Amino acid sequence: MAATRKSPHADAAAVIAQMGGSKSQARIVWEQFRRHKIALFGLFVLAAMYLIAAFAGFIAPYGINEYRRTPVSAFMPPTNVHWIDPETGRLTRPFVYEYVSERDPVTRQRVFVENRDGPRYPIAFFVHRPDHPYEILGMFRSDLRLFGVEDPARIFLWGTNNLGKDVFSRVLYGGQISLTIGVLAVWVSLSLGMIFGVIAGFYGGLVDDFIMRLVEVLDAIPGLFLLIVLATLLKDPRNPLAQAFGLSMTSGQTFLMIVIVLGFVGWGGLARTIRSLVLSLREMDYASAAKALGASEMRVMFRHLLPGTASYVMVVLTLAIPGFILAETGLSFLGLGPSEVDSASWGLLLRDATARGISIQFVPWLLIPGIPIFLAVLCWNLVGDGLRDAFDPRKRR
Amino acid sequence: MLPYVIRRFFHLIPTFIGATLLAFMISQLVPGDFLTTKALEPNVRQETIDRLRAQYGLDQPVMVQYVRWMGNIVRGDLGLSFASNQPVMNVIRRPIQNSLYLVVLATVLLWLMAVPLGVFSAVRQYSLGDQVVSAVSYFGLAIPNFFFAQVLILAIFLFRGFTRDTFGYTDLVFPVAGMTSNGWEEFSPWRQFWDIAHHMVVPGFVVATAGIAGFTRVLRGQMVEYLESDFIRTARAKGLGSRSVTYKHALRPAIIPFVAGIGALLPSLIGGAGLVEIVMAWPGITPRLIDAITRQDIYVVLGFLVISSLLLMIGNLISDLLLATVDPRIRFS
Amino acid sequence: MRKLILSLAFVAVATFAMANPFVYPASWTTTPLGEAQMGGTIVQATLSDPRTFQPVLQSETNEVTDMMQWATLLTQGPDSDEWIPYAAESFTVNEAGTVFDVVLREDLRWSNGDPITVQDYFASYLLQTDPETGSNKYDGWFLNDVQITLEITGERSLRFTFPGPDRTAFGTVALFPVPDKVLGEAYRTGGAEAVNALWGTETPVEELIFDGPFMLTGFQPGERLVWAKNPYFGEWNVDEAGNPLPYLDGRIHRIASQDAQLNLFLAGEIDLFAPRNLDDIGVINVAIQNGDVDAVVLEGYGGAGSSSFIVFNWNQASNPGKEALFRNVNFRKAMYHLVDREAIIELVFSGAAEPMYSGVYLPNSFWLDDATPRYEYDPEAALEFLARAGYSQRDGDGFLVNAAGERISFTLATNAGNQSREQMVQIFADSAREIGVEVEPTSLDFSLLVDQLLSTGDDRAFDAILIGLTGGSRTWPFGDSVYNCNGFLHMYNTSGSCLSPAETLMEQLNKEGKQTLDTDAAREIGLQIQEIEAGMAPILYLVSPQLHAAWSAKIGGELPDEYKGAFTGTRMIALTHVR
Repeated sequence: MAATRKSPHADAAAVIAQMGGSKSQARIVWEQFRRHKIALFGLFVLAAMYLIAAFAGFIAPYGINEYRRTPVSAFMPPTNVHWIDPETGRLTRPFVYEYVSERDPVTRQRVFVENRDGPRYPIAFFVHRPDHPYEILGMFRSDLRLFGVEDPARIFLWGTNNLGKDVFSRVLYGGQISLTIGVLAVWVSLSLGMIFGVIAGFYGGLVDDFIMRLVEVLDAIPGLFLLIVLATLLKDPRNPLAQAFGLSMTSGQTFLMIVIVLGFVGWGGLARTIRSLVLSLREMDYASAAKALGASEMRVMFRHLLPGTASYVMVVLTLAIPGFILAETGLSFLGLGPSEVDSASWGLLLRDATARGISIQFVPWLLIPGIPIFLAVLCWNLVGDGLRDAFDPRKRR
Repeated sequence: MLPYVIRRFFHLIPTFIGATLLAFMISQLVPGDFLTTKALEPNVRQETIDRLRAQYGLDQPVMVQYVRWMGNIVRGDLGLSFASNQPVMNVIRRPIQNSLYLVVLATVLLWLMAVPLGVFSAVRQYSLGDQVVSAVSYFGLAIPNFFFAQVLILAIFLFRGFTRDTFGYTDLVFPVAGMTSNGWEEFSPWRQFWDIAHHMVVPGFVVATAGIAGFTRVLRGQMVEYLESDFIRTARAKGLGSRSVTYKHALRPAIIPFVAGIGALLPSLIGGAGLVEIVMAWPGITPRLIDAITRQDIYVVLGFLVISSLLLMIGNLISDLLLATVDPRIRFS
Repeated sequence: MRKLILSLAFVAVATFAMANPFVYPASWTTTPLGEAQMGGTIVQATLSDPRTFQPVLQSETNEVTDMMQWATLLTQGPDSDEWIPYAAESFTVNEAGTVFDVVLREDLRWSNGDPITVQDYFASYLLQTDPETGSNKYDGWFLNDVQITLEITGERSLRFTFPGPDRTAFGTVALFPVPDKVLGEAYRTGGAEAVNALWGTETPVEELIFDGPFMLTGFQPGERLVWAKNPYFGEWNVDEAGNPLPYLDGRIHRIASQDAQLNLFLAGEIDLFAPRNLDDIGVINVAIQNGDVDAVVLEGYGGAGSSSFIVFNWNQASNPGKEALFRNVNFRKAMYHLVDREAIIELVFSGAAEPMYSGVYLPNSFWLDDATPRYEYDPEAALEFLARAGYSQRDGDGFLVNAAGERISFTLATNAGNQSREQMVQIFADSAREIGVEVEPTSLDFSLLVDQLLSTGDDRAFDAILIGLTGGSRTWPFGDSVYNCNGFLHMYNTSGSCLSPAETLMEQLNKEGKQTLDTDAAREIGLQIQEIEAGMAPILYLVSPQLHAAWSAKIGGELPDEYKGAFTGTRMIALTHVR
């Protein structure tokens, strides 16, 4: 096959070669990265998002699935927070009113009206809610919430969904799933891609042929089919994997399964990339030198060749993460994502919006979960671009 | 040339067998089959289900089913769709054709939007404009397609409110669902074409936006590289105008990889215009495929897979041929 | 009694006219007699492509086969559940209710002008009773595993012979014809295989033959079906003024998902739409108010012909504790009292649903009775029943425990992606947790769920499932597969045999009721079944969504409000007209 294209891998190999493992490499890269203002912005936004997601329990006023059956708070618009005392007209401690609702005869929607004659409920900070404890990073257990109002009033900063669950709280909790799903799925992809890519690139010959054929086979199967069927399969508590590990498919385990599915569908491209990197690296002097010095094949592969691919792989990973975040929203759109009953992800929250069709016009606040998805995907891309430029010596300024 | 094509074909056979076999096995892992859900009808007897299962060959071991199916493929028969009791080819032909329309339009739109943006970014590298362009180009990438389509539909309806109040115009500016208007069959061929084109604008735009960021980003990188290369400097030194240099000498080589990418569009069809088709009721591949998967109408799923493998091969071939035409350095051996 | 008068009216009209067409009563439309405009086209919508054009092997109703299965010998009008002669001029039943003699009308015609003859009905019978054709009507031709037979007894007369009396016999006698010259001929020469090869969706529409009011003239897969008036239909179908039916010249079906249908309706591209919920209605109302569409909205014209329920698994040999719990009637009654239907209706269906207390669908109101015991949401009563089941103490976390200190803990599964079911599961789990019962909500893929539910034997893999059923008969709304202990939809117990006397009794009553020809007597038996079922509470019935309709204001001829319903819809297509 003579038709060759200018391969991005050749670039990458050149980059790697030039970096040559100098000690100050990390610093140089960081300095380059810092000049890339937009990428830096992306990094800060991401850091903030991950931090908020980690402390979701503390910041969110309500639990992940908290709602009440009576009085109904379904489809409540964002709660109006008052800063000014209506009697004195002066700035006061922020407070909210209780809401009463009735159905609009035309739109047939529940219309919520503030009960301004009723008592005011000041927003309290650092409130304890003993009935609704939470965990942070699976380590600290607490029931202290950043803010809240006293019952029966409620504070819904971004409104509620049809059961009356707080969208604001759910977006924060949803970040825990959606932001980690991308990172974890990338690791699954990476592990598979690394193992197969390095083996293929290093041994070449039949092994290489076989692995590359396998990648092609996976490529030829429509991704949508793989996603749907695997997601279906792995959510079954009787699936072989679950039985092997004695899982009962709780929401957490289902979530991991989805990660595996996403990662499994995406590893082929990575393996191909890494293989070609290894192919070019193998011919380089230091690999031959190591071999000549009597290092074992394994050692050459994992101590010398693999680290050589690190910077390029890092860029690829950063750019792959947003793809997985989007893939999760697609799965959720098809009803194959995390389950409504015991978890929340941004894709799931977005489904609340897409399932409404054009009647979303009555409940526009359900579109809010689109914003963090947009931001996360955008920022990961910006950071990936920044990293690529920073790693590339030709782009140094 | 011809031997090359033939070699490519034989190269594909093992992949093809592997992919179909794997797909077959995976689909068998899902418990139940096409007839399981039928059993939920209160008036169906168990014997009926068993009889149909035997009739469809679903009672046979997986490998037997596979070998039978493969035998039919060799004879050019894609098998039978259980759900519609007719040849798979009949079921999948139209959806593939319809998706093809959409993907072609989306590609044209993508080029129309992305090439100017990429060139602008490259010429004004690191300027404010460059940064704005890259930020805007990310928009389509960062918003899930199906969601974007839905937001656009809502926008079209809201825009009707605006045109109604200001101009008394109560029609929608773009259709919000489907591929053709009522009475399409009676239209003149020219009007039929325009009707479909009109219906394609919104979904095509949505599909295209998703690709803009990637396209612009790479095009910009390539162009920057060429603009800084020696031959451009030579061209400039020889007194060529900057416009000519940019378009003739930098854009043309920078665009070569994208030309090559056109072939890859065909197989990407199967993953397809995707969920947009569901939201916009576009009679394309995705809704059909999902329907077949959920009904466990396995031969229809495999039918799409077969076509996708073929398209992959044809696509790669077209890519190579195109590349050879645009890039004088490449010859077939 | 009114029903009888109506049928007499048919006879009266019949004697005046020379020809003997079926006369659509003026009471089946809101349009006064003679005011319906002739001509015009309407646009409807349907969810998916027809999967076949073949009326016999059709495994699900589609618009095309619907127009081919039209000239049934008997029919049920929108005004009653009684069977009246349609393509038949008259019919008689013997004393025992086992032999039906039917006489055909004279002027029956196919859309190609050929007369519809007894041969055509017989061909239909032959094809349906051959298992090789895979007809979904096949099972209907067996009564207790003995085949029902049909014979031609004259130029225009047919005889159905049943092995025993059967309420659902009318449904079998309501046979539709198939063109003997095409399908029957193919069957004689090539058997079932030749029949199945005919009339796939690729068949040119000119080759298709219809007996309904419209004939297909165009099909764009994934987009639309185009219909023209069947010119011969009017020869045997007229309104009371003697005008040939249908009034319309044509109709179109757009093929689109429900979301897309709503969008199309708002864009004015389709004329009829079934709003799914109050959100849809709200959007349409707003569009009407703004003057964007000129339409009529009908909110909540009845309950849907479907059920939703929670069922417990009685076959858990590997988990005797749970098995005993689920077989304990007090436990199940307690759970029944935890179904907060009010919350489900308000939150999940935004108010547009009705509570269900029995397996009989709401539109089958004739078979329902207020006296059947009901389990309303009542946590106190639930606690009482749980105490009787041995759960009266609480552990450190506040959960109810029995003497051995064991909690009540089970998983409740439903199909993933079905948001309203997932939310019903959640509401139930939350109500249970409030009184100290641990319910773990899960969602599984639909095929997995069904697989678990329909698995048989003494050890099945699930605890409890929330799912729904649809389909069934108006003449006897209890399915054999549901009420017979060895039926495969006997979902709580699929061990193959009855485990409790109540199950045995229900099985017997079902058999008995099915054989009771007198409707009122059958109803009594039906009520008895429902009462026994309520007494043992094997299945917790939840709610049924309400049906809504919307149509463009230019469309007329809908049914009077009292006749609209899940089984009859909102209009007869033959009487529909444009203004």
